[in-house]
Amino acid sequence: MFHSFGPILMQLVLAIGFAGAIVALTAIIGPKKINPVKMDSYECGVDPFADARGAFHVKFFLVAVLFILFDVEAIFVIPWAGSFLAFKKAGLGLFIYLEMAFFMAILLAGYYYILKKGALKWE
Amino acid sequence: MPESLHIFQITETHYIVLSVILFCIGTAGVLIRRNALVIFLCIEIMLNAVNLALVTFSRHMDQNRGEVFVFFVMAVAAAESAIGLSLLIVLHRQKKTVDVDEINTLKG
Amino acid sequence: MTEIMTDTISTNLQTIISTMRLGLLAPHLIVSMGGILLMLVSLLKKAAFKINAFLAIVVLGIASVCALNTGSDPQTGFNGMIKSDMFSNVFIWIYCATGIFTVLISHKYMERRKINVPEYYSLLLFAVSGLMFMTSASDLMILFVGLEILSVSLFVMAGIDIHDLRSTEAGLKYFLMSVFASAFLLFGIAFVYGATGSTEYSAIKDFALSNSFGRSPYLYAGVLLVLGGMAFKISAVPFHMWTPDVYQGAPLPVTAFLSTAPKIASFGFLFKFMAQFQNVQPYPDLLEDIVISLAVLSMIVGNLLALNQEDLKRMLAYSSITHMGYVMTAFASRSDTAISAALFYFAAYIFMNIGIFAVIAVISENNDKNLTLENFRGMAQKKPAMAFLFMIFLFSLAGIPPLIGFAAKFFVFSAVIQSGLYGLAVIGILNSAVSAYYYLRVVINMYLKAPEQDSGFDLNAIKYGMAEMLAITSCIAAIIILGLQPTSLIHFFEKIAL
Repeated sequence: MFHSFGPILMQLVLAIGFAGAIVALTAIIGPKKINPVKMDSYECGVDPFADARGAFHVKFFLVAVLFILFDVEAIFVIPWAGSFLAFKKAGLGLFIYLEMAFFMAILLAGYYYILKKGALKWE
Repeated sequence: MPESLHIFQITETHYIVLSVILFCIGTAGVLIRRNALVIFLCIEIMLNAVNLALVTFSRHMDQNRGEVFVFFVMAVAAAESAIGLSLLIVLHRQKKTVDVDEINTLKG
Repeated sequence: MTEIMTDTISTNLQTIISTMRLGLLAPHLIVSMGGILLMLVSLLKKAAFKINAFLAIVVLGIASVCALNTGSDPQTGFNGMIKSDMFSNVFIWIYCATGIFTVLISHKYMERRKINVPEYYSLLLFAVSGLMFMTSASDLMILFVGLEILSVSLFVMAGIDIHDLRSTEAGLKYFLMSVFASAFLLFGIAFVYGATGSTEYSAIKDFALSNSFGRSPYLYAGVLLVLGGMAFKISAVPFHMWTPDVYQGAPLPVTAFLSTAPKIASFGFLFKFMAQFQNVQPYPDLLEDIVISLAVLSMIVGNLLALNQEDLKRMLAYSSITHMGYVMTAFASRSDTAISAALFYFAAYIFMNIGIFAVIAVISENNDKNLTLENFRGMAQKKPAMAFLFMIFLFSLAGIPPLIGFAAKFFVFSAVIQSGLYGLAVIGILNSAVSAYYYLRVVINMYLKAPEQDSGFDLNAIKYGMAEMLAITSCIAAIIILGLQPTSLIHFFEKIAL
């Protein structure tokens, strides 16, 4: 039932080995002529002005957390969508539709709550 | 498949062993690391080890019960991480640290 | 071919849907919908805290009445995921009672401490619905979801005082330890599922009966991991590390709730789940030994740590570990009367523990410091009525007749003796004698010691609120009446089988 991953492993080793060898070879035997123009940002590129890994302001945290919560609920919607037709064939279309409507209503109650609490205000 | 490649045959046992290894890494991390955030990440590793085991068993028995269980575990893990991170932020505001050794107001 | 397949799927779906009997879940749904309602009521700026307290009591009252509706016959529903019987109904009543008592002792305390967030009651209702799902479940999936609904609400409740570092710390510690334990529980569930091919209790039972434990290492490992995860929630030694810190740091009413209902629910699940292996022959020795050693360690270590504890909340935390150790002895005995004895113990424990925390809430409302045993010196002179009530609760916890604590211990230890575990019963009785020392130490401080000057703790500032007095008096009444007349209640519990 589980497929053999042997060929994939082999290909992986070959790919990494080949790519690594090429990179290593250019670094070792390639000519190195550095001048200021060559090291400039390319055409309309902008010089970096700050560390890209700087801390975000904590006010974004709340939005991020709420996003995760609502985002993850999608995993309950996908199996529902996958089995919708089977239910419809069994004559339970309205039932399964209302199930999801109920689920969404609970989610929306939570959404209404955070909206009213002002959790999504940026400023 | 050539006979010589037979050692590469991946069975469900491999997945379970991997899951146990991941779980142990997570447990060790929780016990060793002192940063609350890292401890929390280690717990997430443990939960994902569980997910791997559940999916493997589910696939092995050709059912989808375990896969459905994984959905619940994921949803719960998301809810937990929201609560946990919020608690960490509240703590950091008061104490300016997330080191569990320095969080020691409660003593008897 | 595909036509036939769709037909079978259709009939399967129809039979599954026909098992969806919402009536079985009436209390659960009422409480969880009530939680959502309270969350929306919290949006009102004014008086939401008061309205929510009232609504929470109403919702819990309606839910407990609805539990009557399902009747005493065992009924399964939702494709075997929910089993509603007298056992789960008794637990629903216990949870509703705990919830109502918690609301009663919360209101004034939270207002005085300026933590009157209306969402608190919403969280309490969510926690209660999680508890209900835990004991009504007959499938490990529902158990897990119920447990996490409970835990997530409790993390927030424990850390609800965001201006007090102790509360936040308690919330974070409880969070980390609880999620860690959940991971073990889940890994156990995964193994049980891998061994048996199902998460349903009845299917697990069938598998365990047809295959012996020893031949299925996955099942063995799984059950042990589930037991370990639950021992964490019960805070049985050696999984008790989080208990004193969380109890000390969390706001008092939350501690009262935390020390009762979740532990009772975890035991409810353990009784229900381990009953599936009751008739497995041979019953695995290792499993039995582990449960017995958890019980013995909880009793002894809990007592020893409580002996020289100066902080009252920490002392009660260790005492709760000991009390859960007593219940664990009944659980270990696997005798016929174990369930009724444990149910009686739970009922008794709720009244004793909620009552004592209610008294402490009244005492410590105006004092920000942690309560130490020294603070009680000379309390009998300044507040004789309060000291007397406090003494009754302490006597009951110590197991002094004729109070309910004595009856509860009597039933538990007779269940242990009935199964022939005499050594375990002796250890339990000795421990119960030792535990009297630290309860009586408080009583001696109250009655025989002179009041301390300048302790920074003003006993005269104590004022009772109506709600708190209602909780305290009903607990006292239950402790005395059920202590004198335990027979009717224990007869009622004896009819309950799993």
